[in-house]
Amino acid sequence: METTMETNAAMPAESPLYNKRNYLNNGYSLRSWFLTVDHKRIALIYLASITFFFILGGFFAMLVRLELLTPKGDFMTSDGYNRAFTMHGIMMIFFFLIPSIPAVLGNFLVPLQIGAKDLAFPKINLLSWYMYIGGGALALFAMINGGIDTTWRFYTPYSTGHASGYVVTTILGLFLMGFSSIFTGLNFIVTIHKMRAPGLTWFRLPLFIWAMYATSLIQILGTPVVAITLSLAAVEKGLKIGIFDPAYGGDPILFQHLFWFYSHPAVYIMILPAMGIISEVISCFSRKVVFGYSFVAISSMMIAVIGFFVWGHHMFLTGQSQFAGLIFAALSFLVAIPSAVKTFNWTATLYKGSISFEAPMLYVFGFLGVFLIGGLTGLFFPALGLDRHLHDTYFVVAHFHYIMVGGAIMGYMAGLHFWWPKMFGKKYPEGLAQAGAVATFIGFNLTFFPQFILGYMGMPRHYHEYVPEFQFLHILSTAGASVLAIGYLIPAICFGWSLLFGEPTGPNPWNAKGLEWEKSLSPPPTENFSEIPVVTEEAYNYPDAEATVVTRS
Amino acid sequence: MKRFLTILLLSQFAGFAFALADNPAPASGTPDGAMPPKLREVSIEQNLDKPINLDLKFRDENGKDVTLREYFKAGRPVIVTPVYYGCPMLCTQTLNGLLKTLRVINYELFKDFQVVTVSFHPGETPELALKKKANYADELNKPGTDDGWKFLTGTAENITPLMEQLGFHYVWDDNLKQYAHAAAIMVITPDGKVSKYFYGIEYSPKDLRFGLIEASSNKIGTPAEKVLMWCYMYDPMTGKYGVYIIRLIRVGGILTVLALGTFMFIMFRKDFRQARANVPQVR
Repeated sequence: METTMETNAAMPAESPLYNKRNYLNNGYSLRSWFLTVDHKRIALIYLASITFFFILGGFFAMLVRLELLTPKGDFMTSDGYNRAFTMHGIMMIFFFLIPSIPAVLGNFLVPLQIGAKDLAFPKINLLSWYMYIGGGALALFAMINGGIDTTWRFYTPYSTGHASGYVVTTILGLFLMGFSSIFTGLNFIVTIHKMRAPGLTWFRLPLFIWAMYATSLIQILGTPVVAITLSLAAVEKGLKIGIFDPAYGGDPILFQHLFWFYSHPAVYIMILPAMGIISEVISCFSRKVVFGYSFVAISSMMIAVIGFFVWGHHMFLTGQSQFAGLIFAALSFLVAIPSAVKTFNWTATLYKGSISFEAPMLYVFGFLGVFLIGGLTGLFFPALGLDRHLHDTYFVVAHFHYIMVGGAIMGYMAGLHFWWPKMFGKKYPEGLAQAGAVATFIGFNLTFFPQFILGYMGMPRHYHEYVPEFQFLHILSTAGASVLAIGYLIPAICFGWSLLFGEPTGPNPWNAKGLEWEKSLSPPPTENFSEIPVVTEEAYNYPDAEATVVTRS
Repeated sequence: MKRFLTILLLSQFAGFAFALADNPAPASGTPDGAMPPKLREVSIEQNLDKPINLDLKFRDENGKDVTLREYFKAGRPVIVTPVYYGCPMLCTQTLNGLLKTLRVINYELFKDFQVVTVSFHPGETPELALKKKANYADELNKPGTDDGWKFLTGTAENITPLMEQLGFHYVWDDNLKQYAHAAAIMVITPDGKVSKYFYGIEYSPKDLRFGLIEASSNKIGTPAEKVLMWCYMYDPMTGKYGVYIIRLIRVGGILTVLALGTFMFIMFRKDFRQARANVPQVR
């Protein structure tokens, strides 16, 4: 047994399919990793860091779900529960979801997909990781010292006048993390503008690049606002100066305006890159160009722009004027248009395609289903009257998990599976990976669908006790969370197995279109391309649906 | 610049509305016919930067004869609250509002600033003032209240010029047997010039603190507050400090959008021009 393992492990380096001189073996020292300016290595250290925070956030999620198994608060105190869901939110949103696709897959793929050797500012890219990890360290320090109980939204005066714990430390951590996000966005925008290969015009770009471009715009425009807002809240708490806290003469509504001005578009920072991945994967596994390519591309930009004008729908019941509510309601409905364009076009892409069901594609199908539910339930909130009933209930919780977990994380998993052979040049066990996708889909729906019903029946969010009538649905939800955890464990096993024993894949195992597949090796060399590629065709120019099929392992 | 600001008071207005219900309606054709004629005399005129006469004589709550000058010391701004102690409603609200704010302001009464409550009812006595003061001193329960918050009474020949200089216009209503008046407090500089007006019955601690800092010519206030004040500005229209920081954020936001927009515009234009000129085409 041992010998087989050794031969297996040794095989990739000897196989002609495995690129021997690659970015992974270009130096083994700590220095060669932690002071690297190679976008691919930075992507990998980001991958490790965000996985750490994902596990941490998942741990708090399990605490929350365990507490909610019974109607009585018997597992945690109210205060402990407040801290658990706050830390869950902060870890998941700020330290996992926002950097997930841009910092890992974006960093890895943007130069590869546009035919560049690296990002425009490699050192700023490295700096962005250090700022991220610095911010993460501060948040961890706050967590170890008891965490905070402000919810991830830091509403004043909860976060200033009445907060206990290390609010200022956490806020400082988020401030650093925010700037890491801005740096990434800035880097992408300049890279996409300046470093595209000859012939790669805007409407030949892979849709993932369009999505990253739109995401970067939001990161640059929105993140400074939340960074400043949170800093002002910290200043208020530290110096007792009235900015947001009415006790000192501040305006709490102002905080909410500024906070949601970023935090609503932040949802699009999470979902837009996932949409980019969906376009890539769906096209490859249908062997067809994405239906209405330019509409899908422009709809990313539309989402980025409209996303900035809808923040008020979070504040219908918190003191915003009725008139403003009316305007925000109308504007919020508009976001449905570009989102629907994408969903319809993906579905149309499948039509008459040569569809195969590899693990990435299964995640895509999962995404389409849950994004549809998540997106349509999103339309309930701008409806002013309905929002009164649903505001701050589990309906909201279910809705945004459908978008952020069902949408963004499924997209991320699809992408990770799809580009894994490119990143490491090795196969993962396909059957197991497919089982992972199915487990994720089932576990996810079992966790969050009951929460729609709970919310509609009136279960408020943020409470760790509830009436006994709700228990059945809560048990379903907790059971689902356990399945979901298994759904996340399986890919981890797949990828671990792949790293140790995976067979080499060759440069283009999916027979996919795109510079990263067709013009580079797996794993890519440090300089990405042996010569600067020249692009002479449109994106996703699959010859004929029936002529090619994906080579299977 | 002189501004006339008429503050309508719900309680007084309601009282007047009832009182006037018996009287014939005011002559039609008046420009602001909706307002009872008497109320038009009730107003606050902002005499910003104008001096008040510090030699006017009053009696404090202990019955001692005093001049206003005694309360004006270098570096110490004075909050003046025109009220009358027998007032059934509004003056108590004014004083309660001030009390609430004084509780959270961390400057020391008497040491950093002075409060002078002046009755504009010439018939009122130091005994009544003392009772009123006892209530508020008890409630506030802070050191320095005894010397730092004075409750004055006086005669018409002293009250009238002071109220005139403060721009505080009120009228006696014979039907109701009470004064119709507005609610506001004023911050006066240590050398006796009217500096700021704060309207209503609730005074934001931030506004009042900034008012005191400015009136003291930055003699009081922490360095951090002085830095922060740079971002705020007193708005005489509302009697509040407007947050300039919001304006800063707005300007910052617009500049960011413009910079990014310009960059994108230039880059896209270049790209599309190049694309038209020389790009390897299929077909």
